[in-house]
Amino acid sequence: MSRSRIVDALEKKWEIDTRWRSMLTMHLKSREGIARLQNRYLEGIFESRRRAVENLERLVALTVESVKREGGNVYVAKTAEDARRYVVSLAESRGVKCVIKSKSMTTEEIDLNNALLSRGIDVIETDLGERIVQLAGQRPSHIIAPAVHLSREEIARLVNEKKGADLPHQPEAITRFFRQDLWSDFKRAEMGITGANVVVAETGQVVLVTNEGNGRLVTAMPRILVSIAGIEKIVETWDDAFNVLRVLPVSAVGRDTTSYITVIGPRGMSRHVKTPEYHMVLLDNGRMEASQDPWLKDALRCIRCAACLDICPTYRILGGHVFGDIYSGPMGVPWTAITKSLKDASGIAKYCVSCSLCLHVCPVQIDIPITISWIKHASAGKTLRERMLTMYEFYAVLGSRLPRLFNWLQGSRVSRRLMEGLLGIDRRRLMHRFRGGNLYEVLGEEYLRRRDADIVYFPDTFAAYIDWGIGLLVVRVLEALGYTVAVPRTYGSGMPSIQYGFLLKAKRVAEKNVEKLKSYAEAGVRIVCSEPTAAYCLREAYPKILNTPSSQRVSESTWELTNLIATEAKSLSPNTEQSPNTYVFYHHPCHSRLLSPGRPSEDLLKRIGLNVATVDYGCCGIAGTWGMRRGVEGFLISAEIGRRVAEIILGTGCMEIATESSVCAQQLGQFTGLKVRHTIRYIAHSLGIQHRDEGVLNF
Amino acid sequence: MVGREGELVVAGVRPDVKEFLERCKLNGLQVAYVRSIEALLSVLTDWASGWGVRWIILGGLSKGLSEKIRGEFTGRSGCKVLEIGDAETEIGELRTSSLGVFRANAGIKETGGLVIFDNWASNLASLIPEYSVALLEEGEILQDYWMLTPVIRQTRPGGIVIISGPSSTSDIELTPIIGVHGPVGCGCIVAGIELDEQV
Ligand code: SF4
Ligand code: SF4
Repeated sequence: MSRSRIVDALEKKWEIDTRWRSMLTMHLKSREGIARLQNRYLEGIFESRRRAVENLERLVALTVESVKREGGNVYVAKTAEDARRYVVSLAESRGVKCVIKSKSMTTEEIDLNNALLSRGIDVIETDLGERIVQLAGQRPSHIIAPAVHLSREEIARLVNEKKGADLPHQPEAITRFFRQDLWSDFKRAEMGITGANVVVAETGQVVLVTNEGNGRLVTAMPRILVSIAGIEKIVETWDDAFNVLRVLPVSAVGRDTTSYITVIGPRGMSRHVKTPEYHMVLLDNGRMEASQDPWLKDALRCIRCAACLDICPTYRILGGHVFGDIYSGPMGVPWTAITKSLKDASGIAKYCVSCSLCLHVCPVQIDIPITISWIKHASAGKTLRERMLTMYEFYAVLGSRLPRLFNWLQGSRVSRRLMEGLLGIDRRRLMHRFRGGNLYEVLGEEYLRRRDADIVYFPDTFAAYIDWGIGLLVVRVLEALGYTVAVPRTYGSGMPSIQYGFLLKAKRVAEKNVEKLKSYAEAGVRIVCSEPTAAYCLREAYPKILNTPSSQRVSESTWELTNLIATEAKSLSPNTEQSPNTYVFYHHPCHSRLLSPGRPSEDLLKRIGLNVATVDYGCCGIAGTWGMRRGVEGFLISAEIGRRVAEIILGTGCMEIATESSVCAQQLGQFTGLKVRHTIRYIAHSLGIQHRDEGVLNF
Repeated sequence: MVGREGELVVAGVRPDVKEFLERCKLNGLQVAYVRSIEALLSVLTDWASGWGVRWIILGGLSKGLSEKIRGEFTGRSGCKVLEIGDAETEIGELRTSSLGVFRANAGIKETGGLVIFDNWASNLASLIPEYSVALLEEGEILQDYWMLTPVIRQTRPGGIVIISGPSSTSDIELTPIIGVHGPVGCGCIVAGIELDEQV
């Protein structure tokens, strides 16, 4: 990680605040929209995009044929350089002096503006946000909100300085100024350049989705029109195109549609000019090769909705100028690998903390987190400290044997300084305490070897070695609900290895755990996890890392604890002793969002009579061991997120927090100062097994 | 007979038309349903005077309908009327105090979209003036985007525009602002009569 870039980014408090608020707003709108959207649309878009990627070569050929049939010019550019050369020589040969552009990340990718400017051709961006960043000499920091990092004051100052205006810092006045100012450019430009949201192969047309109207003016006013589209934007039919058009605005900003959808092509209707000329440039630049790569291929389904940027915890803090190349945030990592190199991609992959929320919100189900793990794995640059963090379970086992020593070390200033220096664990991070001993010893052989079980409990490192109190409670609750539980000795889920890109090590752990669990899975016994990250590994990560039938069986048999209870324990009822005055905030752990549809834990807490509040702000900011890392490597970014999340939670007036993740509990306890409990404690209390405050060591 | 903004409940309006107009309203359009050419002209003049426009720009309308609108505005309101095609060179100067009236070819009920197929005059009239109003027949309302596929395959339009609201942006601190490069205000009049048959 580039320390100085992070330090700079962390100093811009105002920018972080604005981005955090903006991303949260966009995320909430997007989720509301997606919740309203019928499932068939999401199924439709996934299928359309999947088919398009599978048939990329054929669709390129079909598009070329269609554009030619309609009388247009089409050029397939193998590289960014080829695309630049084609457009620049076209402009020069036609004597173009001024080019107007509608928003296009593809032209950013090929650095077209600089190529045109270097030949003395004026280039004017006409999307408001793009125009602002163009005047600022920057690149977009967000793929659909390019100027989201700038304040109204900064923008007004910039426009006044660059355009000799005298604008107040009011968005309305600034917008009105550009309406006027850009109109003269629309009239004088001889060439218009657009990107594409979709290319429809059957008719050879480009579809643009816009709100401002600049896209329509760019396609309607100049004599020469050039559309530049990445080949992955091609879909075969209009039905496929409508699948994208229906979902894209919903996932982007929660709206069913944008103000304008513009379809252009060789016979574009708006060409009131005498001798219109149309060119389509289809850009490969690594895409065709990526379509054959098992790790990168899925990223080609991307529709550029930016939902993954809006939810990403580190993007919200660092922004696209740090966490990004041409393409920013989560989707920017695989896209940098596709269009530049693995090395470039690994430079930004480090900002991913594997929370998995980008996968959760992606309307076309691109598993960005696992792709990023692979990019980290495939590239150099992993540090010794990261390698040491993958030994998390080893420290936990040691701590379970020497609890007094470890608890003392964690509490002593001197040893914390030492731990910071040697292990890179930030001394300001509050750590969980060791209970001493482990769950397997506490439960005994009977549980380890039980073959007649109908549930297998996979405790993961925390409930097995750091605080078996939670593990024991889980077993007692499951038994009270009528299950026969087995707890075979398993390994920690291996999440730190996945997170830091040590996929060979992750694979070894996954193989061992699958080996332990597969006979149960094959016999139809469900595997239950009380730690959401463990469930994520078993359900999502292992099958991708191992790609074996056994890992698939284990995946299909894995349940999150609260989801299982919410689904099957119909008899749970309110317990008047802990209701209704217990006002609990429920924190939804990232990995759990991905695994359990709906809100099972929240529903359960309500069912047992608690007064529950929740807010969908996303990640609490600890992300396993990452938020424990020293300074700018983790803790300082984690703290920026933690403070903002705490403000939201405290704003609800709740006095305690329920969650299932042991690390989320660490973060939330540290930044809210409230008592955090595992959801199972409330359920155990409700069943009369144990008071929710009894036996609490950590949460 | 005239349903104005905020009083959409007009006796006898087909449910799908009502739903479509409700969607348009949600998208920020002014809406009306009319059953006579007089009612249509009355809504148009009302809106034009409310918006304070001085220029009426017609695009993609049938000759008969253009004549009726031209007659109405020239006679009553003192607005000047231009037709795209006659006034191709002047339209660029008419960004302010202008109202574009254009013929939409279809409406999309699910999203409240107004579709223009292959008609550059409608396209410009819906884009360049400060305000714009779409005229649509009630029989032209389709359920969703996918109903356009067979139409596209059959008519093979060179270009299509689907308009679902006024021009807008949220590019500065996510503050919503209406009217960037396209119209600041939009309206849609759905007619229960045949528009292109007006003589
Ligand atoms: S997994 Fe989380 S941190 Fe990583 S890119 Fe996705 S949203 Fe961002
Ligand atoms: S990766 Fe998914 S969520 Fe992110 S921009 Fe692409 S389609 Fe949207």
